[in-house]
Amino acid sequence: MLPHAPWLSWIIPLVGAAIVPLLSFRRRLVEAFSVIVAFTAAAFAFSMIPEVFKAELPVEKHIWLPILNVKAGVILDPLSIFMASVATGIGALCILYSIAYMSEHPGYTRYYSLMLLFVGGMTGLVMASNMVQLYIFWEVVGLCSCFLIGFYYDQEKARHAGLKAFIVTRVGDASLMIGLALLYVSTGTVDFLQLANAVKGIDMGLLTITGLLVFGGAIGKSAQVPLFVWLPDAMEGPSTVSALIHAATMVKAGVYLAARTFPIFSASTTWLLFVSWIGAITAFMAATMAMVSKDIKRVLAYSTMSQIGYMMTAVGIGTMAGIFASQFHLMSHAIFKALLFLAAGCIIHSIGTRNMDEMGGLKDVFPLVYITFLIGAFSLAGIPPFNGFWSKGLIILETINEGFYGLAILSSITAIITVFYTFRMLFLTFHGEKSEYVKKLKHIHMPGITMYIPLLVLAAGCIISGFLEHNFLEFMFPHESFHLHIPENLMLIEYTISFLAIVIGLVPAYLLYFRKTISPEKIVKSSSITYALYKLLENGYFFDKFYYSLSYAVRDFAQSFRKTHTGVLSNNMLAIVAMMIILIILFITFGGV
Amino acid sequence: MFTNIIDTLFIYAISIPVAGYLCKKLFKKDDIERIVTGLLTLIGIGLAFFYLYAMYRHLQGLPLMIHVEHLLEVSPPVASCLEIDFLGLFVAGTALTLSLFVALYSIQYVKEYENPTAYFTLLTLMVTGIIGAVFAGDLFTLFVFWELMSLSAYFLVAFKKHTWEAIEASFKYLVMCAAGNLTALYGISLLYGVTGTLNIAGVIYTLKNTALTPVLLLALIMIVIGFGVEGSIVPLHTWLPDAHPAAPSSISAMLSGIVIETGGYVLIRMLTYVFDPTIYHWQMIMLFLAIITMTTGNIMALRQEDVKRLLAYSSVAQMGYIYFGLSTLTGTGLAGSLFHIFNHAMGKGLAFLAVGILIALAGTRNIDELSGIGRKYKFIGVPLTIAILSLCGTPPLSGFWSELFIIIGAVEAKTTPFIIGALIMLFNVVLSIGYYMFVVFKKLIWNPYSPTVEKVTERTPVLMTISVWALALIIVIVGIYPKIVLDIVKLAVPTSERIAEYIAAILGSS
Repeated sequence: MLPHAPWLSWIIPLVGAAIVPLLSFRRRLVEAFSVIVAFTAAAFAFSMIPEVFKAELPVEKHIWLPILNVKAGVILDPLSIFMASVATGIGALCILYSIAYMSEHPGYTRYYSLMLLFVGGMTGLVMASNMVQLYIFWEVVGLCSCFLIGFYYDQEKARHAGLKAFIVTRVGDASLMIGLALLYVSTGTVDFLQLANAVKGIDMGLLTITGLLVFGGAIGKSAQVPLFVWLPDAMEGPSTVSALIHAATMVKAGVYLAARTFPIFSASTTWLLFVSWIGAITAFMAATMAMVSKDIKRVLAYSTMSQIGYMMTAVGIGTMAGIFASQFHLMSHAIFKALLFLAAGCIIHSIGTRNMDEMGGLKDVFPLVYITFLIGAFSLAGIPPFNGFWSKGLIILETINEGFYGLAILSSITAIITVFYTFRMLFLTFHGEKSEYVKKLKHIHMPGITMYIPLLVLAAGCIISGFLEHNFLEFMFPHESFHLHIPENLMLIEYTISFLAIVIGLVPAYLLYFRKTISPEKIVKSSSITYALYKLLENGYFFDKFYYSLSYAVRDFAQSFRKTHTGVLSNNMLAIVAMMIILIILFITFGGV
Repeated sequence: MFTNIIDTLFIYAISIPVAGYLCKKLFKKDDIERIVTGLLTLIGIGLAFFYLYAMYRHLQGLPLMIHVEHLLEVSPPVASCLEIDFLGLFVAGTALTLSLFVALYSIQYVKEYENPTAYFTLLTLMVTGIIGAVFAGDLFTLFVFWELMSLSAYFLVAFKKHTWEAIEASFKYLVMCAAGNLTALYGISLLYGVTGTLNIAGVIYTLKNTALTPVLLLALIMIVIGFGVEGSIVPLHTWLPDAHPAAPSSISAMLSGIVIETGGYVLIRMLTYVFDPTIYHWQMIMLFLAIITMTTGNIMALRQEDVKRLLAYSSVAQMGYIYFGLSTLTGTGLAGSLFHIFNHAMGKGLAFLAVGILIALAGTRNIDELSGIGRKYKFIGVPLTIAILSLCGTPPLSGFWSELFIIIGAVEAKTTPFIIGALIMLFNVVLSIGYYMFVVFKKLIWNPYSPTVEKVTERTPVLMTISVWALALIIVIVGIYPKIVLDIVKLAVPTSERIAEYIAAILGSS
């Protein structure tokens, strides 16, 4: 381990973010500095990996809040080290990729500063040894995402999307904050290591409520039902930001929180059931929404929601094997989703559209991007031997193994839909005829070398990481002789499910979008039911509309409430007299005279 | 006489007009008068701050950590006295920190006004009033300094006296606060009638052994209402949305940042020290008032077109958070309230100062006309963003901590109304993001330039920018390392031991 790595892995990017504005006079300087900082942080994070196998993990703590008796500290265990490595590793690749991707934007100072802050915030979040510290970084991450999603603030959509992400996740955070307060008040500590023991005495009902409230924060951050509405809109940001949000930071924070608080709340079966069902329902709903979306980044966004749903399901199974499966899938997802976003970013950067109807036939234009995207898509769809196959399979396997058949069925259906929308995206983008839009483009500027390096690294990761299950198992449980006890016949069932999912999902996608023997529009228009269904999916189950009407209602109420403030002095003076009478009545009623 | 902190301020309040008059007579230029009086104010407040620090060191050495300054030869409870404990010291420190930067800001800001001497004299007097009210050991001294503060504030609100808006706002403020102050005075006289003393420690000591009577309850109600007008409890807050926009921006910062908080301080002092909650049962009623205050403030702020009026309503909401922390009566909740006084002073003070610069540049207060100006003037836009983020409780900025403490305090109270209150407060915080981020931040910083803003070409004034950045830096530093302020807050939280110490320190062993 490099000296003070648990601290420096997040302090370096945070300090780097503060230094970037001072270097803003030269673009090259900012770029070089940011890349160096990001890779240094990644080096520090990766250097912690061997620590896991040592007997004692060093922990440093510093007094920080005298009133709550909170000590700032770092937690060093496989979970935090793994997440820190993912955050800094993917973050460093994204920043490297940004050099070419953002080469023409004048706001480079703001961009690199926020990116480093984002990576540092996420790493700080996973290294935090207590809830308060976690909450701070939790919000830092949220704030960075707000500013980065709204990075192109000359567009109204981007401005709105950024602020929407901020406020929706803040709703979840409000729940997390009150959960944190309940946890502190009922146990007297916010330290993760102490909490696991401290909660043993407290009432089960209270524990469940606290756990659900804390999980509310994860729902907001990880874009689970019902607080997912910000994620599809978050596509307005640069593709690198999307890659970072989806693969390494932000949405992964919710999964991390669920896994981190698992030892605290796992005694409550209600909590576990809630977590797993929220995950499974989100996975299903997001996958269905991805089937109809026209925007390539939106499809990827929905697929992220869906995959995060899988991870939540795995956490909610309630066994250590479940936690392992969720983290294993998290790793796979981090790699293939970063790959997909960066590959999609190459295309968007080159042809300037996100609409899949305006693409088509791009595989000859960008052969290398096509191959890497293909690898990512295969991983997402769960096609062997790519990493998604192993990790997603493990989750479904665990649900069957523990007897959650409902979850298993829903997850398997989701897997079918996943195959369908992945191939739909692949066919629409890369295969078939070139669209009118592409044909009209006179000049397509090709992605640069700094954009290809991250793609190739990640594509290699997609192929290799699936086979590292046993090494990863050893890493996650270094001191216990932990084995995944999986009966042989279950393995067979799981392979059958995976295979069937691929076939059932691939065939319609192939017919509809590759051979084009059936037109998808015709199916939609064939009956009123399919049309209603299409509208339902296109509008994201009307959650967004509901929230908007809610906010309009508040706005209109505020508008009409203004009438109560007349600004007439006599009325104001009357209020003083009225207040006097009200207080007298209140005190006589409640004051106990 | 009044401890060297207040004495210094008084001396400067007297010498500023003299210096201003001499400058006017000796030099033909107005600029010299403005700079000399401004610098004198700055030095005066700076010196007071230095003495306050000395007092802080002095207090730490005292056995009970309370310093008593007799104003007459006779000892309390008969005569007036000043007492300085950590509660007073904390609020005074907040007031002086903010006014220091407001004074620095004003040196450049009052350029366009006619009479800088009067402005700086009144500003110094207002600060004196705040410090005196905070340090007062008896209700008479409290009331005198309170009136000094209010009077200076009326005149400062009306400082742009050529505009009808300012006159109207000031008149409204004058009438409402005068009514409030007299109500408070009535309440104080009732207390005097029951206890026979005005000394706060004496009143506490006597009330301990007095049963609850309707007269005492009336005194409590009158004191809550009286100080609640300045402390902007809904529905007594209606002067505030008029006075804040009409006043010069530096004065809005003072009013919103510390004058209304002084009202909050007096209520905290009176309710926790004098009116024992186990006898008077005001907890639920304060909770009710707090919830009404925060919700009304936030809802009213949502649809404002005038940026200063919006910030004024948000101050009402923030006062609601402070009262909510007070009503929980838990150590954490009260600490949150006190810390919020500091955070709101810095955050809202900064917001008003930053917005003041932008308004002075663009010449309008309308949010739509100011569209995009914070982006054009990045050096103002960034601190403004820090201020509003701190105000909506975003870590790692200081405003987050006080909100967290208030929420934890409410949960600690362990009764259903307070947990519901915590939920309502969190709902309010989310609501406040609706205007802080979607209105102030989005319109002033992200939106495209409005035609008015495009025309603005002036450069940002240096001193004003410095003071804005200094406050932003305080917010960030305290946010990252809150221990520096929390160490004082911890000593300031009113607990039963501290109240006993307070009585012992002032009345002696008798």
